Amino acid sequence: MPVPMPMERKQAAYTNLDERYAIQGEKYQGQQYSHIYFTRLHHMRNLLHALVPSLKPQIPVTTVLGLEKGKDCIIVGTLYKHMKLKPSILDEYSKERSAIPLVKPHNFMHPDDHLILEDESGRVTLAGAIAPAEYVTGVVVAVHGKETSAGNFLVEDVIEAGLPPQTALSTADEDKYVVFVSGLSVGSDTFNPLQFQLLIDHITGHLGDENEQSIASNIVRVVVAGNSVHISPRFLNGQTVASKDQSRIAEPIKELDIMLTQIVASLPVDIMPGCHDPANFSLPQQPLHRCLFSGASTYNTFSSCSNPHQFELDSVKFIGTSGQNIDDLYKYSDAKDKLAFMERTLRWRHLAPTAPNSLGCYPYTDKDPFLVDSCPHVYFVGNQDQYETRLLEGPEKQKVRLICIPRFSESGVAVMVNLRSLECSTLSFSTSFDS
Amino acid sequence: MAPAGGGLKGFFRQRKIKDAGVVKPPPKKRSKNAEQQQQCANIQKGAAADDGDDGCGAEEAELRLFDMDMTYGPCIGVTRLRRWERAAAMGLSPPPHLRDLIIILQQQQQQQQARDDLPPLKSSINAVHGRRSISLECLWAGKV
Repeated sequence: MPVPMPMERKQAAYTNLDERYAIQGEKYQGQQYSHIYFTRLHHMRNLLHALVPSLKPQIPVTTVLGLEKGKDCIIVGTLYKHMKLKPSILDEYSKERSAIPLVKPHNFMHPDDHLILEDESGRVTLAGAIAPAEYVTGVVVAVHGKETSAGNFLVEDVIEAGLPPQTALSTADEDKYVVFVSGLSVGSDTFNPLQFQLLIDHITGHLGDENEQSIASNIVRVVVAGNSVHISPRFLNGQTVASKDQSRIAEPIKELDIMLTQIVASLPVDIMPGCHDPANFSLPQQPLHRCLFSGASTYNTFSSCSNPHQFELDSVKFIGTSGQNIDDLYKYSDAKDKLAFMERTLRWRHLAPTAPNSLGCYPYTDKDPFLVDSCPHVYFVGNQDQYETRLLEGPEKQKVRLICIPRFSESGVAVMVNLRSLECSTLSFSTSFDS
Repeated sequence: MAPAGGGLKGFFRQRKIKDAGVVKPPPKKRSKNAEQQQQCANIQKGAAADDGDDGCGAEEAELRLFDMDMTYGPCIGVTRLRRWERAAAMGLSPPPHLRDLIIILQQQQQQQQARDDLPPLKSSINAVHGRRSISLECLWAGKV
């Protein structure tokens, strides 16, 4: 029997761009969130001031305080959406039966929601050609219209910053793939160890014949996009844990570590924290600590990353989150599908516009790290209900592959992206014979 | 224990404690100095033009105007130096002499602390140095 030639796994040049999300160097001085809003408005306003003259020449740009009744003008500011059903801490203290039902709805939209535009000088209610259902608090836009006698601003047109500029993809000659998986939920009831093991075996090349192995050898990286563990909520409600239960809290993480060690021994892995992982709550979530992965962190292919995560592979730019930003947009606005939300965040040039309003965020004083300066080639969001993907094309020949990664524990689906062509396909694993 | 006199009524009678509690200070004669201190409580650019008083000097008034200027963003929660540097990084060109003032004060404070061998203060509050009295924190620090 001829000895089969060992296959070499392809490699790609990796650059981690997560420095902007590191909180290590930040010093908390008791500040509140006004500074983030100020830096966001300032940055976006400069962008919009540069864009507006080419789109709407001859129309003056003014501040909210400088509005004159009936005069056609453009104002730039941060949107605030007044929502009737938005949960407020003061609801507990209101004496009358308010409109908010006792069971919290998943989506807080209401037909009476309206938008207000705010800059440093003042705020003005918006009416007209701007649909409150499409916007959320925290987005910076320019609006063209005029002030009415009622004191509102009648909007004629909305100008968003649009997709940022993108560096063109350099042509590659060979196919290299990146595998995205999220929502492993090790330790939960829906976790199927055999399913995860199948995924690992496929990626590491232990499964299938030479054809399958050659496909697997083209995979250069695995990105685990959040919610890798699931710790039973009864341990996390603030009560003291009995000593016999204490070891059970760490079991999911140990199991994840064992599984990850198998992958890490074979190819580089990036792991991001999600909303259920043992990391901090507010965005940007800091990388999971190496002590959690005593086995996997001994390999130099193991890379614990922040959420959001930004990196470059062979000059292909990736940006992604574990899903909190899109889930929050889903709660406060409406769109056809999750990809539409992702497209909006790129057009608004901000990954998480609802931070810090309804999404926890660190109170930065001099920057807003969620601003998107250059358009990525691949934009991924983890922990979604279904696999969805689209190639978004921009007006300046930008091409972005938008990917919604489904939860692996529920769907058994992982996503594979081709670095050369930005094509997207799925790897589906099932352990039941009847489906 | 029955009291000496007055019966039960005298037992419960309250007596004024002489040496404790809130004592109303005797009314002071308003001197010329106090009046100047009062004026400096308002932010007036020309009010305290003479450096000779011990209220807020012209420099502190200028720094307070810098705090209140909304083009540089909110002032609460950041030190003046950090706010100045943020404004410079954003390209808003804040006046450079304000930064020099703050840096000089910071150096003076560090020298003073090294001399007095005190542990560093948690929040750098006012430092009265001679006739000047400017602060490293914004005017609302500790008051809001």
